[in-house]
Amino acid sequence: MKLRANLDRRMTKIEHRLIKMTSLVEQSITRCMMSLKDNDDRLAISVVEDDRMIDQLEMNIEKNCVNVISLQQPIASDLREITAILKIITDLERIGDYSVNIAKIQISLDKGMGEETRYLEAMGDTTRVMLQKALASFIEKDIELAREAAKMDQQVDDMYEEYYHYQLERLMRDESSTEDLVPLLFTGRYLERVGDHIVNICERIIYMVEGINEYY
Amino acid sequence: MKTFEIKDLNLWYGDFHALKDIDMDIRNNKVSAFIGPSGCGKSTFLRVLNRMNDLIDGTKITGQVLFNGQEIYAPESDVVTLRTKVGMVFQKPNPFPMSVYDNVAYGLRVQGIKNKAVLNDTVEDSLKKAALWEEVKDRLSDNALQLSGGQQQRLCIARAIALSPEVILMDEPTSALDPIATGKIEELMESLKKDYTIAIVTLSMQQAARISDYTAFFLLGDLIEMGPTREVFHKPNDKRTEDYITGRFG
Ligand SMILES: Nc1ncnc2c1ncn2[C@@H]1O[C@H](COP(=O)(O)OP(=O)(O)OP(=O)(O)O)[C@@H](O)[C@H]1O
Ligand SMILES: [Mg+2]
Repeated sequence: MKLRANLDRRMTKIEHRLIKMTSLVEQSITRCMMSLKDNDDRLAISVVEDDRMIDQLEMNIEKNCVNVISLQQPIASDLREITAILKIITDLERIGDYSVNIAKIQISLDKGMGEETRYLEAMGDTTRVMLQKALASFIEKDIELAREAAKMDQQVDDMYEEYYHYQLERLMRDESSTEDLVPLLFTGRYLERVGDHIVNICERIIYMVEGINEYY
Repeated sequence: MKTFEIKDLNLWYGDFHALKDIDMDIRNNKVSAFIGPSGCGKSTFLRVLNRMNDLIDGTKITGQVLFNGQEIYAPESDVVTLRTKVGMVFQKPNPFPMSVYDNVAYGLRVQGIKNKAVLNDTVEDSLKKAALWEEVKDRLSDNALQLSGGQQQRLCIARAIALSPEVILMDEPTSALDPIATGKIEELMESLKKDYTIAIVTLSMQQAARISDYTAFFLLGDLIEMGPTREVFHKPNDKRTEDYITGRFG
């Protein structure tokens, strides 16, 4: 009895697109951080340009979700999954925008990044691992993994805090480099926000699987 | 408040065990929906509530069915009184082949009420409650069989209401109706529940979700779960309920 073959087919299609969107966003973070590290404007430009694909996928997934809701009237786990996906794509799109902001900062820098590399790289790496875990938890419907990823946000916050004080001190000491320090301070702020959006994503995955709201 | 409390109910048709160890509370002034695959015992269970199964030879019932705290299967319990308090509306509208007015007045006349004014008032009031008055007030003496299917079904609801029941049982009351007539019956249930307790069997998940406060899921004679409709359709407790309502069954 294939009562829900149509619904299953549509859900699978949406899931595949969400996985694709997540990996594009992950690449976007990786590449904007790499462009900063290598002072590579060409790579940064490609991050800005490729953001359009992420935006398009978001609109496309949203349209598909609305179609499923109106044509298939999903309930229970199906409805939870659809509503979770509708919210997850907003967070993913926003993470893409932060990568673009960081890439634009790279393009605007005169000298490229200096000593702050170690802070920003560590933050970038951590958010990337968080996103990978979030994606795996979505695919496996594994809420432990989602919780793990969400809890990693504390590390990002701590690193940002440390970085913020470090940059502030430098700002006060060394006025010649103020111009670059401010955008680089923003970069840390953006990565901190990326972590928050991944936490949102993890919360939606937990809701999707368990039907409960957990906040991190 | 609980209108019905059912405890450890079992029902057999001959050797066939149709309802198994059912425990259920039915709350007053709420709509309770019974869902489940064909043959799982929904109609049988509904009939338990006003002893309609008594009419079927070879049925055996054990357990407790308390209506307002009184055991309805007790020897001293009166079936006729029970059925006026617990009215029933069936899947196929079944008006009697007589006028609209006489259909609604029928039960009252059987009870011996002859006063014309009382009959007039009750007929009008019942038809109003059943949201049919405006459509039939000028054709009260027409034969009820001339009404549309949806009107006939609301007439049957008016007929039940005329006896001032506490509970109205409905077995797939809209499965023979078009979406507009279905919408009218659904709206009607919403307005009726302030005065009555309603239990409805429906094959439509969407209908159960739209109209009921509580949903009970039956499977092969077992009550798998019953809970607030919001919860059952959002995150059912039992995997079998989830599989059924999302169409994963079979
Ligand atoms: N009068 C009867 N004599 C013997 N078996 C019966 C009788 N009425 C019902 N049954 C059996 O009891 C089981 C439950 O029947 P019931 O009519 O309660 O199911 P249901 O859930 O209302 O199904 P449907 O959705 O098809 O109306 C079925 O297996 C049916 O064959
Ligand atoms: Mg039935």
